[in-house]
Amino acid sequence: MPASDERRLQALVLAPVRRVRRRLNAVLWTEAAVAPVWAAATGCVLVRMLLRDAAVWVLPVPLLAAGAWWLVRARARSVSLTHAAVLADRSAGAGGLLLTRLERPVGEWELSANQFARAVTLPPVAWKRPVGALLAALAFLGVGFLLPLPARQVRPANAAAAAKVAAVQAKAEALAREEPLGTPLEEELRRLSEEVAEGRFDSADWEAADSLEKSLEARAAKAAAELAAASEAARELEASLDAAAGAEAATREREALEKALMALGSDNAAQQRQQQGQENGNPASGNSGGAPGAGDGGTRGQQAQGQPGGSGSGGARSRDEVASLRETLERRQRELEQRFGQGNGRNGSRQGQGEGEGEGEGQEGRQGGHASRQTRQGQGKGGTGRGGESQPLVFGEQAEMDPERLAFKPLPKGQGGEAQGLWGLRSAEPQRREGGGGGGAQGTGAQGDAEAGHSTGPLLPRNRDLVKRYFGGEP
Amino acid sequence: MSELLSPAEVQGAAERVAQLQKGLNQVLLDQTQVVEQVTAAVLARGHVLLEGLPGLGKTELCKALARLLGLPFRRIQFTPDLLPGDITGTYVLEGEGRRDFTFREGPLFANVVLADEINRSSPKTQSALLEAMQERSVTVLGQTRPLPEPFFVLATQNPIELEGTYPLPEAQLDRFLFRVQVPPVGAKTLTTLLTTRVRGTPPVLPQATDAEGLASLFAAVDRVHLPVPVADFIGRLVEASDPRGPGAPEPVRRFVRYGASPRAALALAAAGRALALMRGKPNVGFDEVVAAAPAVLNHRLVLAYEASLEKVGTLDVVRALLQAIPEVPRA
Repeated sequence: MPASDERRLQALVLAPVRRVRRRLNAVLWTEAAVAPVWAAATGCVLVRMLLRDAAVWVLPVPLLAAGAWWLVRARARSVSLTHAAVLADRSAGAGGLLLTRLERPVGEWELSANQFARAVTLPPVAWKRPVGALLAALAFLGVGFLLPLPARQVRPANAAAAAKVAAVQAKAEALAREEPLGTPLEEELRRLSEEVAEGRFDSADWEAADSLEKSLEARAAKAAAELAAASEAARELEASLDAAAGAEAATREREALEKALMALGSDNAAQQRQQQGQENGNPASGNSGGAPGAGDGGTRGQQAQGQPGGSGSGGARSRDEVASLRETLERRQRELEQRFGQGNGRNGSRQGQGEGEGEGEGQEGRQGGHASRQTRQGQGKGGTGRGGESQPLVFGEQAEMDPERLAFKPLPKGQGGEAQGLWGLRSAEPQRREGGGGGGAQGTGAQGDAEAGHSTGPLLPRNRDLVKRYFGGEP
Repeated sequence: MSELLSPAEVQGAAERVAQLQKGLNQVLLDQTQVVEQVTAAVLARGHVLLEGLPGLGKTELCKALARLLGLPFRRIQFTPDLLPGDITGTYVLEGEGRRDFTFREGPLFANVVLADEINRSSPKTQSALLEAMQERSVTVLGQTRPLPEPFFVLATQNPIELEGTYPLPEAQLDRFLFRVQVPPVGAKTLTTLLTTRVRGTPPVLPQATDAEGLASLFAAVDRVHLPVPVADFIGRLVEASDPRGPGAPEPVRRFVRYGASPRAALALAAAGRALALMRGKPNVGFDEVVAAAPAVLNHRLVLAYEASLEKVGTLDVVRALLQAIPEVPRA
């Protein structure tokens, strides 16, 4: 094709066709941009809401993604030059002459082709809808960036969980003074603290905290029992030392008395021998014989008095040390009890022991507060005799029960109400009974008045139905 | 690439074609579309199947066309006992003394052949037209003889009298460029017919052109440019007529069993060129393709049973096809 024909083609025929193409592409690209722009606007607003200050660094991501998406969509929808030529040909009514002109020279038809090219009109396009959608997206973006962000929502602290974890930590610290906690337990405590701090303390964590607290209490009870045993041993040692010191002093006094008596007897004999010597003319032998004897006796007496005195001062130091040790043990025990509070195994042990000592009965706290059920309180002089062996409970002298079954355990729902109902059975006040000790007081049980426990006492009316439902029979 | 037709060439060809159409319109009153299609088929060197009720002037149209073109004309009345040799020709024993077999040409050896009521002959005889229509030659006893140029077959068919007829096979139908439906005429046309003609005899028409002029018209048609977008439109149109094609619209997938063949695309291009020349254009436009499509695709679509159930014809499907296929493919 000659250059002049090419220039004419470019100027007269291709120009209107390209105008048509540009117009169509503009609208199609605008339509293709609607979805990416909306997506980008939504993403930017969400990024601003979620990331706030850090949104500046993330905003390019949705913008670039939307741009890439738009390019892909726009390229797929682009109008080809042939498409635009067909539309231009149809709009000018050329009947295919413009299409022919784009493919080959038309010779004498050039004038007609040019006239048709000038008659090309831009096709009507529906631009309002995509432009409106784009403007709406931009308005949404502007509103999303101009509206003030709501204040950061502070995550509500789980006060109950925090208190629980703090209590467990306090117990762990108290126990840590007595014995090392161990790495797993410390790790679990740390994890629970983190869960509380991050607000992710859920039911599983509650269970973990409860089990951890129980294990701590069990270990604390064991440690308290060991401390109590040591304190008791110290007390007994102190008593033994006191008793030993008293016996030694009596022996020393008796020996001193004997020595004094002996010295007194030897003085009398010497005086008699001196009188006899004076009477027999040998007073010197008498004096010489008597003086050494008295001197030895005095020396030994001093030595004898000194030795017990030395051992007495050493015994006093031992007693002081033992007393100090015992006080230390008792103080640590009290601290442990104060930390772990009432109701744990250690407290029950002490309570049972105290009752055993003072009331002649006790079960070494195996049942904790329930030990009162087999208690036979002995008024008057309490012995140190322990309570008897664990006896099975008898309700209404009809049924025998294993005490373990009376351990705290909530009844199934609908079978006896809440656990507090069964707990009320335990908390009933025992009735005082005049007479000897009950069957539980064996061995060295204290004599005197005793109060019957629940095992022999009448069952409270409010508990009859409860016990009946629990055992499925007559109470 | 041949030179594009000049405006003068296009104008000269259009004037001759207009003269031909004018003569045909004088014979067949108020049937301009039928006349245009028949003229386009002649310019495209195609065969035409005229379909319509008896008495609509189909045979007169064919005879008038032969007279206007100044070409030899033969009429074959297809009957059930017609044999292939009756239309192609056969060897006969001739001469005195030493007698030889001499080939007697059948009625096919003419430029314009009217196959009247073509569906009344047996399929064997109908098949004798296959080679003649496609190859424009006849083979008898192993000897092939070319038919005279140009060669047109104008067949007529009565769509209502189906008893004792043999429907044309698809291969036979495919060889017709157009199947033209001749519609009934109105009262005004009948009044004109009654007042201008004695016993319906058509006027004697002067010859519009001759074989040489017709050959120049054929050459002009061949030089009509077919732009690539228009050719692409023809290709997509034919492809979409196949119900298994990717771009087949819903009516095609529902009502068409077999689509058009590639011969249909060639026929559309040829008809488009002829129509463009008749309209004074050096190139084919989309309008020419759309105008030729019903007559070209009408007999090339094999409808499914659902179409007869819902009384959907091939023209309905073609119209739906033209509406569904855009002139330029959507990106």
